[in-house]
Amino acid sequence: MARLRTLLRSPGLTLAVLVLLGWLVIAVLWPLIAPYGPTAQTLTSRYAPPSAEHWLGTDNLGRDVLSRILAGSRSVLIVGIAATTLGVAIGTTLGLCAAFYRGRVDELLMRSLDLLMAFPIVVIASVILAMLGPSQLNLIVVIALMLAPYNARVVRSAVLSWRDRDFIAAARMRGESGAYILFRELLPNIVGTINVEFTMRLALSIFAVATLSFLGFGIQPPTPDWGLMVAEGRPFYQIAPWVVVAPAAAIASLVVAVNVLAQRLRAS
Amino acid sequence: MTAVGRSAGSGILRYALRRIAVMLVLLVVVSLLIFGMVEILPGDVGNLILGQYATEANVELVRERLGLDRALSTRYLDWMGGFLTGDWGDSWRLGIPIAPLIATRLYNSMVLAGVAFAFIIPVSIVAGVVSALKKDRLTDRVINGVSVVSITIPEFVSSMFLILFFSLLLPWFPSSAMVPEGAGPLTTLRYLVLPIIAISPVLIGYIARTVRASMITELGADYTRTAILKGLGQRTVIRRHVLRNALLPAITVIANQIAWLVGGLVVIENVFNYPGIGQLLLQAALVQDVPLLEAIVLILAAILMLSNLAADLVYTLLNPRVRAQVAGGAT
Repeated sequence: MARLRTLLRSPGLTLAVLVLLGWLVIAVLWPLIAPYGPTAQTLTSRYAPPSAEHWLGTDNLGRDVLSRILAGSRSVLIVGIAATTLGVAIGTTLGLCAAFYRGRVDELLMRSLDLLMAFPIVVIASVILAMLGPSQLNLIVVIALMLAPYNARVVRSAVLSWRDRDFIAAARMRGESGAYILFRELLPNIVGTINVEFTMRLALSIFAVATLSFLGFGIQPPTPDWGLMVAEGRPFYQIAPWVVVAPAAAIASLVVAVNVLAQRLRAS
Repeated sequence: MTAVGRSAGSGILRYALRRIAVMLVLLVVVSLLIFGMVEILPGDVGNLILGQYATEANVELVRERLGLDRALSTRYLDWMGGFLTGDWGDSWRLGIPIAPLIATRLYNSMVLAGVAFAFIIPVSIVAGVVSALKKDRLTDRVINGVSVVSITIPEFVSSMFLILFFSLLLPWFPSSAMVPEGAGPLTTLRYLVLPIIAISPVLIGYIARTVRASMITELGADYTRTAILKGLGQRTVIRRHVLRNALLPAITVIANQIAWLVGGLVVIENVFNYPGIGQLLLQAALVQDVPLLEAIVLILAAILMLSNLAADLVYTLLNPRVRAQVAGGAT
């Protein structure tokens, strides 16, 4: 609690936490807050600029931009958090195995991860999603696979300093299984590292979700999604810039907030 | 000692040859992976091309014409053989030969990337050096803050803001990077300004932070103190001693950033309608144009591996410590 209070003394961090919590609340409660249905079309008021009726204006189909922004927070957070959780779980397991077993396992794992990391995320994701077809689940799996190598590296080096301790030797002599030592003896010692890792990867994950949705590999229209909204608004940004500005600003606020939080956690 | 000196050249040559051999093996592995992924493709290729209402007979005909009725291994060898001899086949969707198409698009992307690097490298080195010299003072903090924030925002978001400000609000630059036919270098540059600004922050941030960190290490090194105590001016010490060592790690980082640059190009080229390899990759992916997609990914893999190899070799040649190690056979 005391640590939380000192952390919150920084205004930048307080703002970041508020923004993140705000989006999380909106993602859950948007059906209660949104003034219109996110896919409800009013063809008589297309491209309407921001007004008292439509705070953020309307798009090419007369849909309320504010409602779509509020509703769109759900998909980016669900995919972002799910992909990060899966990716950190995979990465942590691989990192634990590599550091604990060393030798050939370590060598093989790390070299294949290096190969994977040498490729731009967008390129691999485009190829895999082209083959699997665009969907929310595929997006989660692909982003998780892209995040895992980075996580595995960090976990591996964190575990290396623990694996030769006496309590590990003791566990081995008791005849504990490899899985027991990995998850019951080693894992608890690196929980702090994993927490920081999770926040850092969450920032990268949201970045990737937004970008891949923008490119057309995520949720398909007409479901509201921030990245998709920017792509949909791009052709008519000259007559209705608000359709692009609102989702772009929403993405920026979320990624910056998560990043500020991640940087601060890492520094503390 | 003289023996090491004499064998240094051949040591580096042997190191280079071994690295090239490893790279070729990796490329074969990558090509197998890419080729294998096609087999995961759900749905029939014949239907993919002819649409879902095509007759059985027509679908069979398409499969036969594309050679998809042959064994997997035959097709792979055929594909690789064609690839090595410059016959990359035809695009399924566009119906035109792939090799010249990729060559044009790759050239366009390299122009964009080249201009981008010509801007990014000097800016990031200056930013890194300045923030190291002003460590923990306001300038350092501002540079650090700007780089952290700009790294975190996705390229397509910053691109949209750039377009809105510098193309719509202030009509200074075109919002599309489609350079008109026969445009001079200055006009071309004007079209490329916004894409380059959009793609730069991430790269500048990484390179500048590496330069800053290695500058700080070298500034605190014993030889720096010796040089200062010898009575040399600060400028001379930095230029003649510190910078030379501090910039070495930047080479590796710059090469690693080429992967980021390629990823960024996919996004940027699509936002700005730039006819490069990134736009082609996305189009091929969205319509599942498999041969085109395979060729693009393989070419990109080769480029990334080559640039990393080149960076390692330059680093080895420039760094006396690594050079001695490689020549001595330690690596």
